[in-house]
Amino acid sequence: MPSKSKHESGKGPFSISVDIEASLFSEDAVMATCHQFTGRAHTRLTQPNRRHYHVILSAREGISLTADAAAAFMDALLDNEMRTRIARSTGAVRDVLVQTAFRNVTRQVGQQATT
Amino acid sequence: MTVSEPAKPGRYEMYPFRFKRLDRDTELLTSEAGEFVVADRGTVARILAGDILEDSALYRELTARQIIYDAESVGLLDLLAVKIKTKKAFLLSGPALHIVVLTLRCNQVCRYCQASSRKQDDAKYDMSDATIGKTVEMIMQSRSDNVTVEIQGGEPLVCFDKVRTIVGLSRTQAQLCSKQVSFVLCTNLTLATDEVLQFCKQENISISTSLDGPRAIHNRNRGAGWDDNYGRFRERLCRAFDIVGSDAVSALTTIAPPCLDSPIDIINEFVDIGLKSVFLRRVTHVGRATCWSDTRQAYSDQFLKFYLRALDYAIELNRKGVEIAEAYASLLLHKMLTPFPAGFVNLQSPAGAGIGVLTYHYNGDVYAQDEGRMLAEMGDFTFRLGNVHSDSYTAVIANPRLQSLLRDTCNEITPGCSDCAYLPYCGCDPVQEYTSHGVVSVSRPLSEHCRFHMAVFDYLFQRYLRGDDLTRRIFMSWALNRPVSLGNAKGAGRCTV
Repeated sequence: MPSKSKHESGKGPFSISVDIEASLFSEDAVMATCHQFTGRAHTRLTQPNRRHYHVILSAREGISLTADAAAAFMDALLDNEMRTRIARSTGAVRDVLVQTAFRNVTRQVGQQATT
Repeated sequence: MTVSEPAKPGRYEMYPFRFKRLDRDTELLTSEAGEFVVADRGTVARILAGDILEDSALYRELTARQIIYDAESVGLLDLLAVKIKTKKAFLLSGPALHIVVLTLRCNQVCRYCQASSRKQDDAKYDMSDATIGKTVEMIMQSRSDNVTVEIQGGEPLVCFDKVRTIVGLSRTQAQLCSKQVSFVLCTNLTLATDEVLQFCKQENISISTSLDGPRAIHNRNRGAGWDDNYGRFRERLCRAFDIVGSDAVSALTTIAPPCLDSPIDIINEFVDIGLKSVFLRRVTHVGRATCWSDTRQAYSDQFLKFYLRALDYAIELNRKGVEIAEAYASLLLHKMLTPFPAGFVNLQSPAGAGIGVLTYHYNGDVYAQDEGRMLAEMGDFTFRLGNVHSDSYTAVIANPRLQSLLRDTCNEITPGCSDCAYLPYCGCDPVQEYTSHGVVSVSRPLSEHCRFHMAVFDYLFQRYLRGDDLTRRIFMSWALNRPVSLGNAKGAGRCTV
């Protein structure tokens, strides 16, 4: 199993930990997912060894983590991994698009700056 | 009988695109220019795997919306660049909206007032003629060929002579600078005599007014002025319709916390009064409205519920043939369903503060946006860019504060926004974020603006995609600011279900 989660509190889901296989998910995707959860939880991210990331989500004050938070985290991680792959594949095209869209503007600004 | 070749995965490449799961079964994919495709869950993974069949309808749709391209469509990259430039056209023209605070004096004491208005007889809060002159000079230096001067207060009609002055001066200067100038007068209408309305008609001035809801709500909110502010407002509004024309009059309503349970009453009031649009505006916690700051989080949650209920009701009315649009949703739909930007500063990335709008305070101070001067009245000058007497237009635009504001409100480089499927339609409200968190660039998972807009975009997409043809036509009419068409909405949108 690439990932697992557990509740660390017997009383309720105040804290949830998730183990992630580093061979399946990129660091960018893991970071993006942790960031996404910062509205609900404080996040502690560690890499205990080269093969795993370890994430601990601790509920923010006044917010309780629902029982499916770990599953929601994994869903979001999967989405973010795909986003990372799309970005990796299309970053160069995006640069060309932006340059093409605004090339005349850049020239105008440059001309204004020199005059 | 011949057997055709089995369909094979197409050879294609991806353009940059964003996606989100709309529900358990569907994914929303948005292109860099904001065109969108709704497809079965798993589509994004199939695109990544190179697994979309070349002769499928999905392949054609993804190609048409420029999510993917192949050997035949690779030449259309320039087209996508043009679409991106069109969507970002607001970056290129310079500030077009110039808000001029002619006075802080007001004849009413609205409980939600954000502008720190002053007593009606305290003339030291009026803009001097010298400052009006310098302000108009600065406005005419904007790179924009078409400028709108929005006259605000306080209540600007407590100094109608100054309204005449700035309109006259702006017309003269615009002619000299070969610019087109238009005017909006923001007024509570209670001081709008027939003479004022005739002037508006003659000068082609649009009127932006405010109505809080039915008589009880409106009178309770207004505090001072007339014994029956509501009655006076309605009488003057009718005269404004007669003299200036109903198309030249628009109204918004600020939803103070005590009004959060009245969405239907408020919309009914706008319908009853003959207005075709209502702008449901949330309270910004500056000025007098800071009295509700302690319950800000609860207000945010309740306002979202209020807003979605109001949209439900407005759609229901339209389905029965009653024409009433919600103005903010119309702006969002305009961005979703047309190739163009919305021209609303808080729905732009970077935010339109300073690049789409400048605000000139009564004392000559220049602010990046309207709420910036309201904050300044509370002693916080974070959004001040200069003064018309001491700074040039170039110095105002080049102010490091504005550069920093632009960087901090650029969603394309903001974590949480940069890969959000709603990025092409969304924006940023720097003052709201600043008053909530003390910084402009707020982590998106903590942002009120983000939470509200994610929910509203979800709602609009769901209603649009799951709705019948009539619902789509209603949304298209809101997006285009036109009456609901009798034709079929299919093909008018930019989506696939």
